[in-house]
Amino acid sequence: MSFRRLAIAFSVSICIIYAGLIVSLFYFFQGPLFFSVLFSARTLYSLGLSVVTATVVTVCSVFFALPSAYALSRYSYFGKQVIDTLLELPMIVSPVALGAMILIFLNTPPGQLIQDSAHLIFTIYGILAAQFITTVGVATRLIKAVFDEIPRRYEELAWTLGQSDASTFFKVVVPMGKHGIMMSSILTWAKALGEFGATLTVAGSMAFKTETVPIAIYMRLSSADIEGTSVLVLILISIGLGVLFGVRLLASEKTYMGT
Amino acid sequence: MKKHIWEHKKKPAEAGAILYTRIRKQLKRFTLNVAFSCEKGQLLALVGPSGAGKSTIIRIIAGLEQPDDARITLAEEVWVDTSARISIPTRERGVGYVFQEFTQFPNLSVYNNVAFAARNKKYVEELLRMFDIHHLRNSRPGDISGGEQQRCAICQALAREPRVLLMDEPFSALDALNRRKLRALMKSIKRELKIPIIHVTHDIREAVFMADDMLPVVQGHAEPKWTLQFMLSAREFDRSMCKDTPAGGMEEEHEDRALSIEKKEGTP
Repeated sequence: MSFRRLAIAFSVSICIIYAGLIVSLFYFFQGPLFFSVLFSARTLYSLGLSVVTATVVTVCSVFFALPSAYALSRYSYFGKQVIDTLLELPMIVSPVALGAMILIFLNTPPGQLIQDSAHLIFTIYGILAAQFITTVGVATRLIKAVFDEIPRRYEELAWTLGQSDASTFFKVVVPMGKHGIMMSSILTWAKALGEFGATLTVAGSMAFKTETVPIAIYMRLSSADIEGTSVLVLILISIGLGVLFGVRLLASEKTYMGT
Repeated sequence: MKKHIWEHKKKPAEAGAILYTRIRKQLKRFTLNVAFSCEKGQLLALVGPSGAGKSTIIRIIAGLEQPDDARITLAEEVWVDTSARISIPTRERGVGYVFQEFTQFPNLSVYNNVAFAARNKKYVEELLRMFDIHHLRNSRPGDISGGEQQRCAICQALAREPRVLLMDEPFSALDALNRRKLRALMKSIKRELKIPIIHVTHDIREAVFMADDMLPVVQGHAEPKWTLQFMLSAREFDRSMCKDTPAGGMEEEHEDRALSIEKKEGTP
């Protein structure tokens, strides 16, 4: 077998694993149950909560990530390497451990000040905090890769044309990297939508209060409701695949609009 | 050439503006150490082999790189004085800079690129016509040829009405015909621009054709006193190269032939 065929066989085997998992969901699929679960007040609340929190968190994460990623991409400063490494924290530490770290922090004197004013534990604000902490590092890493790809000479050109650093960033760098930034935002949104461990640890799993779709899946599985679980997983997969389809469409363009 | 295009650019305060430059910077392989001046309406060519430090000189003048020790002034205005810790930012120097690589904002049309920093929209229109890219005003840089992109780049630099024009091997990535046309165009407008123009090139023939003055830069070192001798020997060198070397002669011959073909096609 040639190496080409071997490599393709490996890629197909990965596809078979995932496709098998998705197809197996239909083994327990029941049409009437699908619609009754989908349109139940509890599922609609979870879906709404997941979409709203993921969207709010994506906006906040990208807002923080844009200048941070630019600083990491372009400037040299004390502690840059440490910051660059810490961005990987949500990827290195398991989500539950990250949630535990948030809870531990909230029990320290500065954390208690935040808890007293923002009430993060067992609230929607807790979901936002957990998802933000999980996604901001990823968003920064993704957007930094976009900025790294934009040649520095475009900024130099803008400076020679009388632009300040800030206007160069907003008028040149962001518009040139807009496709990459949009792709990063969509992936950040997908990550926030699927966040489970940290959210469960900080915000709990109260129906009609802090139950996002991933938590709802866990709760249904805990009560051995396989049919209901498969319906919710299908919903999550549909949203996820829809998002990825959008990413694929954007990915067909360059991450920066180079010539 | 319509002279009135440049009329509104006259700035009495800068009459007789001279760009004075003294730079020292430690580079990896040698120390860059040059001093020269350039008057308004004058085109000074920094000539030398690749890696001689020519581009670094104009990047320092533009404020894109920092020198170890330097004093750069335009008329009475101090741009850089390391001893007094003065270094005004690039955006305040008012330079026009043409990069060697095609560097147009890819997400903007030709018109929007040229008008990016322009104060006078009428001037933009005139420049687009003069550089023969008016018909491409709505095209994106990625959709036009290299020669057209470099025309756009020069228009963009001029449209901001710079006080100094810096060109970093602007024609080196162009084909022979476009290179020759743009050389001729820049030579014809340099006087009307009434600003110091510094042109970096490794092409002796280009420097001899365009420049009022030349500064040979070798290993970061410039010798103004070599200039006349260098120019004369360059002419001789160029002639002998064209005569003796098949490659050099062929390129010249191709350029001539291309121009004559174009003239015939252009003749009604």
